Amino acid sequence: MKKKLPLFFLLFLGILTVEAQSRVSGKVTLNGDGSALPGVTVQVKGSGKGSQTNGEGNYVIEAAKGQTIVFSFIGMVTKEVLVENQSIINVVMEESLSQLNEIVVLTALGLERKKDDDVSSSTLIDASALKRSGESGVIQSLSGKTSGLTVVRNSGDPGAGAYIQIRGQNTIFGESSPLIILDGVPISNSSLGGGVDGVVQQSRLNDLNQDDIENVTVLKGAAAAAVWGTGAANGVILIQTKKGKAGGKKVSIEVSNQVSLDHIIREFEKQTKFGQGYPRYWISGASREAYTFLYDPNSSFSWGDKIGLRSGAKDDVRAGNERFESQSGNVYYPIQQKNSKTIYNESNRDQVFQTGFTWNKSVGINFNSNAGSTFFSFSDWDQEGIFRDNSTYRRTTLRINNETKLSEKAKLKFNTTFSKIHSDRIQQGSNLNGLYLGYLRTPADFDNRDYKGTYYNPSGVATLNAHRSYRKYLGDVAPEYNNPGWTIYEQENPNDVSRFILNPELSVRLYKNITLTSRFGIDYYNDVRESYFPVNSAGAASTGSFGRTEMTEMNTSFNTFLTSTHVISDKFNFSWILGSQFESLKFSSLGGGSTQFTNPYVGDLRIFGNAIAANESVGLSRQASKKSGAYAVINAEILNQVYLEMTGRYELPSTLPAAVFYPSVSAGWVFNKYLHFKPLNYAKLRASFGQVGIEPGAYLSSTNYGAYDRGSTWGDFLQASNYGNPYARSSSAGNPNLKRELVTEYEVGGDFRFFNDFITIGTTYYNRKTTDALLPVNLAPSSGYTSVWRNAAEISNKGFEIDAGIRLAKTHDLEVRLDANFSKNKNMVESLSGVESFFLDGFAGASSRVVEGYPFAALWGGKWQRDGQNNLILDQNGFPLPSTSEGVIGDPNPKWKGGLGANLSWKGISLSVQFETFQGNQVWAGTSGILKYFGIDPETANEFVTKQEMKTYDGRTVSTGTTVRGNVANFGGGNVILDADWYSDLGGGFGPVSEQFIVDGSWTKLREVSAGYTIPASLVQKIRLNSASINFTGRNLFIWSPIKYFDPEVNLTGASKGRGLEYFTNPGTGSYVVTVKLGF
Amino acid sequence: MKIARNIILLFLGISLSQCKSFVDGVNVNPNQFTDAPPELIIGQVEIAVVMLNESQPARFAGIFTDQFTGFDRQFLAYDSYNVISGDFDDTWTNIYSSGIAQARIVQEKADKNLVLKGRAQIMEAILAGEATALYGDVPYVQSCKPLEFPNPKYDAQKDVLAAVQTLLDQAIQNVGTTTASGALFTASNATWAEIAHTLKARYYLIAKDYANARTQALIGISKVNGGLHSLHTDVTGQKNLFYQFGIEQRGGYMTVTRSHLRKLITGERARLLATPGDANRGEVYFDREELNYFDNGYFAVNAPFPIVNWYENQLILAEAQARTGNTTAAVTAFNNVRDRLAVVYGGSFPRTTATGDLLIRHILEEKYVTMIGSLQVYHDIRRTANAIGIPVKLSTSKLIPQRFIYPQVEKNANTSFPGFVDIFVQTPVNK
Repeated sequence: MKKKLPLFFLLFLGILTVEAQSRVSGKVTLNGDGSALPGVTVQVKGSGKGSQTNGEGNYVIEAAKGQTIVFSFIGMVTKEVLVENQSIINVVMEESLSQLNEIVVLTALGLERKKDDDVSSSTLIDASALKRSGESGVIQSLSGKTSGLTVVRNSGDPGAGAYIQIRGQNTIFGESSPLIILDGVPISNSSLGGGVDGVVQQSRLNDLNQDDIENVTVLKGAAAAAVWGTGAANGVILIQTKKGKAGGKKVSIEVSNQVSLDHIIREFEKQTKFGQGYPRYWISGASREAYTFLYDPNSSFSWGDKIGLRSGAKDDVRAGNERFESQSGNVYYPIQQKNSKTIYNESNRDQVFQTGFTWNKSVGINFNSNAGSTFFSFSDWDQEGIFRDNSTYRRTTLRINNETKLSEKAKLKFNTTFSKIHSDRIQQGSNLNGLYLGYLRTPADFDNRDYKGTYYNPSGVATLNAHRSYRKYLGDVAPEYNNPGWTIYEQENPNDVSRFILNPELSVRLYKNITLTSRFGIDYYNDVRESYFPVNSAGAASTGSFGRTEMTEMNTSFNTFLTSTHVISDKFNFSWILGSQFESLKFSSLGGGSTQFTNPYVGDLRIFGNAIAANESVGLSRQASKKSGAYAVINAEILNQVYLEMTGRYELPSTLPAAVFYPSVSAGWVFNKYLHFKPLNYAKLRASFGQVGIEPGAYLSSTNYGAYDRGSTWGDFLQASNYGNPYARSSSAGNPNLKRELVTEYEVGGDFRFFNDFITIGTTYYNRKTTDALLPVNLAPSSGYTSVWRNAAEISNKGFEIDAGIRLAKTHDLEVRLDANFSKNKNMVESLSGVESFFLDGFAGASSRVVEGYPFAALWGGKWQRDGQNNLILDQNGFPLPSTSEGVIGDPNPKWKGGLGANLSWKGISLSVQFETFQGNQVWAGTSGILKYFGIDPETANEFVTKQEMKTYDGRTVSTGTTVRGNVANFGGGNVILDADWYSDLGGGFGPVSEQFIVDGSWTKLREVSAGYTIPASLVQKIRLNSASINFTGRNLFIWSPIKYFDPEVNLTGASKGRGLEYFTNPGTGSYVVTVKLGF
Repeated sequence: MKIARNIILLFLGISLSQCKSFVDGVNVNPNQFTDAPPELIIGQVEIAVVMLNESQPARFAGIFTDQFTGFDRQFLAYDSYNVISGDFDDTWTNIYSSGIAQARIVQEKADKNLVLKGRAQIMEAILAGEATALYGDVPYVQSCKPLEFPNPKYDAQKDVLAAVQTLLDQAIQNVGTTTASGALFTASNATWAEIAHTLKARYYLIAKDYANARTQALIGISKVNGGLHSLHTDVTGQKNLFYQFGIEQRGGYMTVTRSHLRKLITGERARLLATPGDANRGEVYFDREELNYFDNGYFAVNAPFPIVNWYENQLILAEAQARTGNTTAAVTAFNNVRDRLAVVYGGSFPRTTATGDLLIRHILEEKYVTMIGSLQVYHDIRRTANAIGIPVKLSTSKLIPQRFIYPQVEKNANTSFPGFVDIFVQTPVNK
């Protein structure tokens, strides 16, 4: 139900000029509860005269006898009344059954417009479609629901941010995600962090309570977004929150209670045949011992002895002083001989994973009075993740949206929200302290459960809080990788966010049809992140490490615009908007760290100062940018069939030396009446041209000097501050002559409806090009700089989008709809001005890059050596050789993607399913390469007897009849043996050839399936309720994908522009959700 | 309509008048400096020099010369010489943009402080000299002049080596008789001039100009503990780089399992000149299959690492004397080293009595053992066509890698890039 007071209609004032007028007045009410309807357009048919109802639903209009008065309002069936002798005409309006010609979208300034009058490819998704999914984030619930929008969950961690992209990627260095406009003002959508290690970070968009959202509009095209100028290059997502309902009950309350269970959807398989250790050959160098396997309790490998051949007795141990006593009381002595056949894969799994649990409670309250209305909400989202400890997300939100009529001419809106979030995160990725790294590499015959205890050395001296893991099974010193138990129980990564968003809006009718609207927005948050590694954590944190960063960001905006509508005749009307805007961003990050604790027993204290001065560090970074702009929009409607829109924005960002102008023009033509083709009841063609921009980052104009630390890619480094804090000129050269990045887009499309709206089709073709894209152009390091900022790149996105719907049934009780969408985007990095590639994210050996002549974020890494015919060049043993140079090895962008949804509602019952698919994208499956290296991957546990003499990678000749652990392959030079020497070298994930781990990452997901029941009003009213409903949803329950061992959506580098990288990334999840709602 | 027009004009007037002043002065970097004095920059040049001698280049050199064994992960591949261009990016970037570029800034700004200028020249000479020794032809004349030469041309190896000599000559003029010092180095009792002469000797040796190498080594580092050694402590960011790599970052990646050096030291493989004292030395170098990272180990957390020192000077002198026919002087220089080793490690380091080719091989072998982890060992093996018979680890090759591959970063961005050269192709001076 839409009972809104859009500004657009407030402006709709007629010009009265005709004779023989009489004054007609009356009240417009809603059928059902009889509440007054304000803002209803009241027009005299064929005259251009118009009025509208006031706050009490009353209207006055001049009309002559015999004329017809038309009452119209969005969401209502238009009503016509013939004027005879009445002077009072009261009208009861009925809600329309969501007629398609009544669908609205929001324009870039947040004003409502009928979809049929709109000349862009914008789409609106309303709250019911968003809420079914039961996601914690608003954006995640959009995935699959409209064409042209990509939403990817990078991880199943609670509250994890999502990657959002409209059409294709436009910029290398600018913001990657769309501009988010909440109730007319821009808000922060930062996802700070997202490298190859650390923890999965949240996105600030998740701070909003999804129960507060009324609808979301996605502006895909540049023309539609052009009034936002710089910043709108990635499209705009407009979010409108609920407001108090005018009319109806004075107070109404809705209480919602939601419970969901999360589980891992894909897991890696680990071999169970061979134990910890390696071939004896690796020690002795004797080829005859290549398939004699040794158990070694501190080895990193699972290339050890065959577990099934062990005696099965207890392990022979040296029971003496040296031992590890776990906190559970178990004692471990040095192993002399491994006899046990026990496999621990299951218990090691259960040590770490659980079923995640979420309980979300929310209350929404509506108040209304003659002067205005108020919406109040409170919600508490409390989630425990799939890891057994320290993986939580708790979000508490409060919102008050008030709308008050100050006078006949002035209205004040005040929307405000507060969010408080506490979250605990788990370390992941390429990270000695990360969960999956230690977990997946653990051999099948090692029991991870006793991870902490006391180590006694041979003289009986105790080390407290010793850390036991498979590479240091007695916990004598800190291990190379964490025991997963240590990772989740002992390390801490808490994160606290507080956020306010305030946006007051005042609109005043200044003169006749001119209205002034002023919006002010403040979005402020404070994000405190800590990371704590106790003494004896793996790697560099073995002596303890504590870090804390406090970030604050404040976005303020002040936007004032005049709007006016002029109805010249019933064949021509136009409206205009003239506005100005001031935006400001301030960010600061203050952080510190202590490493090498002087007191290792810190208990619950998380403090600085527990280290010598040289091991204490502090850092401060600030950023400020501002932007001022003026804009104008003109809309015209000609002959009720041609729609024109022109916008222009003149803007001066602080990051640029000169002002920029962004124009756009769009046109649409509704032409079905000329076709005389009955089945086609609506047809519109539209075309647009628009330009938007991206400003350079702050402070890129100057070259800096800093006390840079220098290190190798292996982590060893020299810290300048310990050596007198010397300064160097930055290797990145500043450039004072930078321009904005310019995105120019042409878009053509059509909207068609057949058989009286039975079938709906919307299609759009777009061609957008980013020119002058900023790039830190790699300079040859021999020039003295490694990079300089330049407007050097050109990126194009061409694509085709279809949204189609079939309304299979529509009666008062029953509605059945099928909706499908399809998007195909062809992205191309047209030019990098000679730079071969630019690193976005990833590793030295496998990364996601921008490469000239390839799609954005192409996967890059080591390749095989090939000849002119693309055949592998083999060494004398018949194995391929690594190429000396790296190149493109894959494309993480889907060839096409789509969504398919079905909805059925019958009386109180609703059923829906939603599928989403990505096809033709590739992923670098980094984890499986590493698991092959360690001999964990099931492929490496194969055993066979050789039927012929074959060579191995290290040049051994294996005679016929040898039992080999490994596989046979033929690279083109005859059969060869892939054994431990192959997998631990060129054939494994630590070798230089990443090409072999590129896999097809296509997927199709049953995104959600949901069933709900709304108890009939007649029943619930007996127990003094207004409404009651229950809903069951399953999310991400099935995946169809060639990737079996991880959720193909996960991305190591989070919501960053680096895509398609998987490396010990925390797993994705699926959920079962139950929601109960009660209205009072 | 007049009122409407006035409203619009007023609106435009107010908003446009504020446009410019609103954004003025915002884009000034609040986080970083835009200039620094040369006295402060020299330390960064020294950091680059230490990185070059002690970090990844030294690990590659040690693996290629079978002093060390790549034992785990990527280093297993390196052990069979499986390297790609990207593996050499950080070394190259360190030499040029972190090193030579900063050294040039010091030289430009240090007009009034000649000693500082001389120090920067010495550091630049090490960076450029090692670059050309490792990579062959490299940019020098046009390097680190970004405005003039965004795409520096590659100079012939012999020209770069000659330019390094000229630069060191200038440095010697500038430094006078000052004692060497620097934030990155332990206290030294060598003068900068002595160090510069030893460096001249080193780069003459690399150019196979033995006569000049001899002349320079004679006036090089004179005191047994003189030279440049990196300064390390147990503070994070100041730790020995081998220690950081082997203990903190990449435990188990690089060991000495079955390495040629370890076999020589343990006696598993006989040395050309029997050295019982190696048993003592081995305890300082190694801890079983690992490098010795313990206190007092050669790679301890606070162990200084030699950049250039007396041992190198003596061993250059010994070889240069031998190759210019001065056997007696060569033997003396060599035995000076042996005598000193006996003092340092205890045990017996017998003197040599060899002559001719065997003497040269005694010298080279001692240099191979004494200068563990040094790039100079790698230069020697290649220069002498592996005269002391280092094992080749790859069954398909007769040679150890003859050069570092040009880095991917240079290929990506330099239009003057001459193309990749295979790792087994000798650099021009060694052909």
